[in-house]
Amino acid sequence: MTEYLDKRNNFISVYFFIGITIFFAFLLEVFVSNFFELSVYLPLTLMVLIYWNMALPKNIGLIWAMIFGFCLDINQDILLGSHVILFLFISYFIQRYFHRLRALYTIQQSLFVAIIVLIYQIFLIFFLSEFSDTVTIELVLMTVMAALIWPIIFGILRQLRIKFVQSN
Amino acid sequence: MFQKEHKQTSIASNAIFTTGSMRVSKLLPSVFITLIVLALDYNFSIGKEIKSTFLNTFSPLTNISQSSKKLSKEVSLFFTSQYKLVSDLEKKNKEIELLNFELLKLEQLTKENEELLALMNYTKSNEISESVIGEIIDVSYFPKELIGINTNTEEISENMVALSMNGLIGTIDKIFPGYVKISPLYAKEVNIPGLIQRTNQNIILEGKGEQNKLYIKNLKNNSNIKIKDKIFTSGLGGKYPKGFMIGIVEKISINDDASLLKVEVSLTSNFNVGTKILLIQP
Repeated sequence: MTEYLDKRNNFISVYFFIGITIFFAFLLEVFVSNFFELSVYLPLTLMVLIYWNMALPKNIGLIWAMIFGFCLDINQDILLGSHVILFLFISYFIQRYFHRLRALYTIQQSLFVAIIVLIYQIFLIFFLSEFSDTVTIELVLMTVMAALIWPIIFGILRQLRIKFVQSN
Repeated sequence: MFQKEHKQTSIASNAIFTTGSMRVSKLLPSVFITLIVLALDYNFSIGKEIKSTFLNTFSPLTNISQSSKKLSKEVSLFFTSQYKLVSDLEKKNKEIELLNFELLKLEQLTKENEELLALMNYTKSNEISESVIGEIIDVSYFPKELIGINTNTEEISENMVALSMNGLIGTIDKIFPGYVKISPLYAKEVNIPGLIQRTNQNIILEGKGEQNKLYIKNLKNNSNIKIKDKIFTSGLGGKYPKGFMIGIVEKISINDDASLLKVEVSLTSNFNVGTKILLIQP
């Protein structure tokens, strides 16, 4: 009798659990970006968003992409919507092809994430207009870092998902 | 036959890979809303207050990273012999920063005094009967270029013109309580009676909305005019005071109508440079 309610509660908890993980990634990203003062930084929020879009596309939707996109715009004091547009298109792309992406090997996924991060960073550099001398080096460095960190993020979030989330 | 089978297999595999995938129709409303926010923020800076509120909210987070960075630096330095030297250096750097700031303030003050002195000299001229001083409070570029001046508006009339320390810069566009808006000399439909200094020929200069450029109106192609000729106000018509330099002839070409010359005059005074403005009436 209560099956319907149970499912609903589960959905809400999954939804907020996703939100909490993205929120922590956002806090970490803000902390790290302020710590190093580089013009390019590691997009942890985006990477966590990519994971959830790939793992639970039905549960995540586009709301979290919008909320945290706006938060990043505000935090970096750039045009409202710059991050959001990028997050929306990346979320759409991943939710569209999540079957194929899930089937990739970890190393292939890392490569894919690195490409996404590179495109994202290039767009952001144009939005921020931060063309410093070291920007190319920072761009390459962060893309490589993103590729190296992806298996760790993937592993941690996967463990968390298995432990706390019972998705349909 | 093989081709048909291959096609069916490809359709089936596509169907597997796109089942449950997101459709563009789901994305479009979010993109549309975001684009509206983006356009509003770009044109009207609607996010300014939201940003400042949120930046204040996020400031503890920013401070944590800053203070942890400082702490790690302090801890690592504490165990080295350079500790005192580095802290002394930091103190001195702070002192230098403060002194630089003071220097900047003094430079600003000197500039303002120079401006005021130049404007006061204008008021001594016999060509000026009335003058009111004002201070630039804002500069806007859209829909047209204007500067706002804080002044005593009770003494202002609409046919006054604006002078900066560099010379004549504009005319009064609108008078509001407590401030006036000034439009530049090169704004559309502004006509200024002028005089070519070398030949004493009277001319009419007209603005076409191009920055720092005026054009001589109806100048015949046999007129005696050269590049680098200086143009001054003639004082005819009584709106502009006589003898103020307007600009220098920069380009002469034949107009579409072959009987006339197209003469481009480059203005000598910049519209929005400086902090003080003198509004005058000849």
